[in-house]
Amino acid sequence: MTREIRELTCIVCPVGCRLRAAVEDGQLLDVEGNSCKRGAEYAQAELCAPKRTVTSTVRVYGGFLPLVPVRTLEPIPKHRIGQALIEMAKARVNAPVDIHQVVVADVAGTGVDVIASRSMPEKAG
Amino acid sequence: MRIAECDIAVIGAGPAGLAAAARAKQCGACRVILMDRDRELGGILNQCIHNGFGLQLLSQELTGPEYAEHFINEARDAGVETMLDTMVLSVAPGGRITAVNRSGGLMRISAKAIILAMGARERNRGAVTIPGMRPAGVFTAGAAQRFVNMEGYMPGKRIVVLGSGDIGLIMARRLTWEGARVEAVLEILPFPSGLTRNIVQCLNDQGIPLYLGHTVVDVHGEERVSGVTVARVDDSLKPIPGTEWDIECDTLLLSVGLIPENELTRDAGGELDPVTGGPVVTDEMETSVPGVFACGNVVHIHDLVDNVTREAWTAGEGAARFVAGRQPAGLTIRTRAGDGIRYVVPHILHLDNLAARDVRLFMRATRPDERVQVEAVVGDQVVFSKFERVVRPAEMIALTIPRGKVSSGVAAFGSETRLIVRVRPRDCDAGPKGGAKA
Repeated sequence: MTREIRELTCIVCPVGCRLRAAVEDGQLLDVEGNSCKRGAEYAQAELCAPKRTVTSTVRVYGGFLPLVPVRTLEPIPKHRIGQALIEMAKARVNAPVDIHQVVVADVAGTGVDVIASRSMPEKAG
Repeated sequence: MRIAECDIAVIGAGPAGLAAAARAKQCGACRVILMDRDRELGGILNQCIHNGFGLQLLSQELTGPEYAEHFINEARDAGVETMLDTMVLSVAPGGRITAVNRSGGLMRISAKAIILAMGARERNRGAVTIPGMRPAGVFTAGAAQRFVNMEGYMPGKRIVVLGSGDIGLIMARRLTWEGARVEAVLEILPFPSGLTRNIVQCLNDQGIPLYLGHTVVDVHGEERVSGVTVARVDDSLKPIPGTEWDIECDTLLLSVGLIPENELTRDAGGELDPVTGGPVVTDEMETSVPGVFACGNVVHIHDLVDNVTREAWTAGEGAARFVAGRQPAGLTIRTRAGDGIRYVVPHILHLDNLAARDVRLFMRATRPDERVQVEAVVGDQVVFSKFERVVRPAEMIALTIPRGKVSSGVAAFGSETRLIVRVRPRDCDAGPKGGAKA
């Protein structure tokens, strides 16, 4: 049983409340410092199952630009970000690329696809 | 020389130019030409591959390129003509534009109205005068962003970021994710200049230290940066002797603010606001030169693209009205930044517009504050007031004055009357109104 106090800044709205959360074995026990309910929900998600949308780039063959920007279709667990970035760095795609085309399926075993965040035409000539 | 004629010429195809051009066309302007010096539409959004765009306006959390593509499609669907790889050299009063590109050579474009949407440039090392050697490896954050996200080059492996502007924070995370080590972010002011969510997700998440009240006092290295000396600063932002320490690094990124790019505005004879660095504009987003409009970062630096788009729509509508000969006439009132406010845009409001529609004012606070009323005051009368839980210089405040709140009666005050926007602490309200509420 490990109980610890974690400090974090709520980013749900511009107020940016400083939260103090008591966590025990990955479970949130108590939150202080939030000025609304959403702050407590943020602390819950942030401390028990933090997720992030990951954005990066993928190499394109024959594209107008050498890279196409990509993002995860949904936020993925924070601890999978490193593996997801490695898979995006290794991926290659042929031009033309459509916006929202799947570039890496099921990235890092999260069940979430990585999609192109713009269209990328072929290199002219 | 090639000569073209159009109703409206828009200079700059970033978020401001795209939205202004589309809206002008939708409002009935005949030929709208959108010009940009870059190879594609979208401006700086194309290199902002992170998410967080469009939350307010499109109710989606998009990346920069997705936000751009949305408005590129809208401009194309509206029938806006585009000219890429085209550099505008000058704007003469009267709507004559001189531009150059590879296929057309030197061109003259006559427009009934012009919308300036050139955006901003980054402050660089010269603008913030950092002492030390002049080795390679000192970049602005935006230049590094373009290298990494569009061209596929890493600027370095061990990075120090000077300035806590949003682009620097975003790049700190981006470079970490690409395998570099970001040693520190230094901010000379006692508070961060970027958005809180960027401090949390870009720095705290990656374990990158943020040193507030610190700056770079020396840059080391012969051919390439080998390190920087940093120091704490006092209240007047002067480095405190004895507080220096060295950080080894091969790259120094600067994220120390943006400057509106107004060479063409000056060219056209437009009056500039020394505080924003951009043109003085009306609530139609018209500059002091009749028929020349402006929107986006060329007017004042925004932190959210959603607000750029909103402002651009106003400019597009205003330019279309100008071309159609339906501009508001009659009396105007000037705005002024009062206590706690650094600047207000627009600078001039038409009483006709205040009577007929909601008029949105954009402003920035001078200092961070909590639980305040942001008030618009004419004479001794508060015409509109809004509670803000928190105000920060980094986060622009929008104040929409509902139509009819400023009556045409204010004209009786005379031409020296100002609409003053100020910040008033709410909890210190000891006046009769506060007492009545309690």
